Formats: sequence, structure tokens, C-alpha cells
Amino acid sequence: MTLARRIGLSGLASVAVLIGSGIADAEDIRGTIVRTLVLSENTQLVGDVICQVTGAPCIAFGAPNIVLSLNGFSITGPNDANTGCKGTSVGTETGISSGGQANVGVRGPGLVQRFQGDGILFNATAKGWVQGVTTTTNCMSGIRINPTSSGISVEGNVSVRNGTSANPCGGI
Amino acid sequence: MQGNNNSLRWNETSGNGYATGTAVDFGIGVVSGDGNIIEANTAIGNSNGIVVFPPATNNQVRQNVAVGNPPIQQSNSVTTATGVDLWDQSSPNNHNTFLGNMCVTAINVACPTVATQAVPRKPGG
Repeated sequence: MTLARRIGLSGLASVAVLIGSGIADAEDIRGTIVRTLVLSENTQLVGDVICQVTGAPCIAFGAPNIVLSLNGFSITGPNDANTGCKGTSVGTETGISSGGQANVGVRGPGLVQRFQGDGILFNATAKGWVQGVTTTTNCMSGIRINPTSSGISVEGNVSVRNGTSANPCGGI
Repeated sequence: MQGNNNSLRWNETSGNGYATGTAVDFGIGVVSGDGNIIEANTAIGNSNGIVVFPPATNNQVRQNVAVGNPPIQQSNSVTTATGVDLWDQSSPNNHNTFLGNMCVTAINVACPTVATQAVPRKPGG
């Protein structure tokens, strides 16, 4: 696991990843995330991820030209499974943020759910993609491309039960 | 969606958005931006299906299936709310185009009586 990554992992599952970092794939993640996890290289989920980050993205890209593969696992935020929002949406609490990096991608299948902001957000990103991901019960949009992003390809995703009554948002 | 020159293809959206509140929610929304392509997606049972907002320019919305927006429960239980399958809020001078979409209800967009071009899923997918 590279030192360049700012890591916030806790819990038994995550500890197992950290202890095994000398022999396991450095880019494998699972377990509980308590601070924003910044990706600096290709990364994959090897188990479900629970996010307890407040006021910031759960996972953010920190380098261009890399991919996050969900491998059929889920990334789950703190929101209510039925209502989505616990109240007012919090735009900074994104599940996965492109972090302003160019040519980054999120590959499914996999689930991104229950975040107080967007499930997946492309912000200030030139070229990028998200494919085959299911986003649900996020408090803003399931997948959002912000005004300063361009050339983003969004293909073959499923987006259900996202949104808030305070902002124009929804599936994609 | 905002931003420019983005593409949305073969996505499925359902059950998104709130019927109450000040915002217009949607399955797929072009909130702003220029030159985006929204093609061969499905929008079913959202507060609105596909919405192009006033600031958006030169976007293409084609061959999508947008039906059942909003769901019948919402239409009956929130009678003050409006919702449609396709909604173009932009000026004609913005040059947003709608082609070959399948819809039942729409504002400022024509719904064809027979869908001839809508391809909601990726071929072979």
C-alpha cells in the first residue's frame, strides 16, 4: 500500500488488509473507511466497504489515468436504507469523487449507496467514465457530472431511488 | 448532469426524485452544459423521466425509453405535483434536440405514437 495514499481504514477486515500489505495487492480495499481514502493507483474492492466519513468524500481519486474496480462489492454510506436522506443533503459527502483527476474510471458491477451527497461525482475532470455500477438511495444524484467536467462517459449503469427535494437531482 | 461533451448510454433509472419540494427531480437531467448526448437510456417511475433545464445548449436526447414517470401512486397521492416522461425547459434557441424517444407524456417535446427508434439496452448486453 503506497504511502502516498491517505488512508482511513478501521475494523477487523481493514486491519487484515493493512497487516497483509506486504504480500497482498497494494490496491485492494475493504472494511471500514473513516477518513477520505485517496487513490493513487489502480484499485479494486476485495470486500464490502462501509464509510463513516463526514464532510468529505469516502473515496477520492488522487492521480490521473487510474481505475477503481468494484468487483461486485458495495460501498455504503451512513444514510437510511429506506428514506435515503437523514435530512438535508450534504454535497461534500460523496461516495466516490473524481477529485479533479483526468481520465479516471469506476468499473462495476458494484453498488454505491446511502451517501448524504452524490453516489459518484465527477468534478473538474476531463475525460472519465463509469460503467456497470448500481447507485441507490443517495441523497443527491446517483451519478453526477459537475459543470467543470467534460468528456465523461456514463454507460450501462443502474440508478434507483436517489434524490432530494431541495435540489434538482435524481438518477444521473 | 452538467458539463460539456459527456455521453450517457444504456443506463437504467427508476424511482428517483421527490414529488414535493421546490426542485424538479428526475431520472436523467441535463441541468446545464453543452454538446452532451443522452442515448438509449431507460427512465421509468421517476418524479420526472428526462428533463433538459433552461441553461442547457446543443444537447441531443435520442432513442431513449421514458415511460411511467411519475408512478401512479405519486400521481394520486401528491396531486399538486407535476411530472412527465420528457420535459424540455430550454428555449428553442438553445438547439437541444429530441429524436426517436419513446414517451407517453411530455412538455415541449413530441411523443411519437409508435416508438420506432428507441433502443433501451445495449445490443447484446
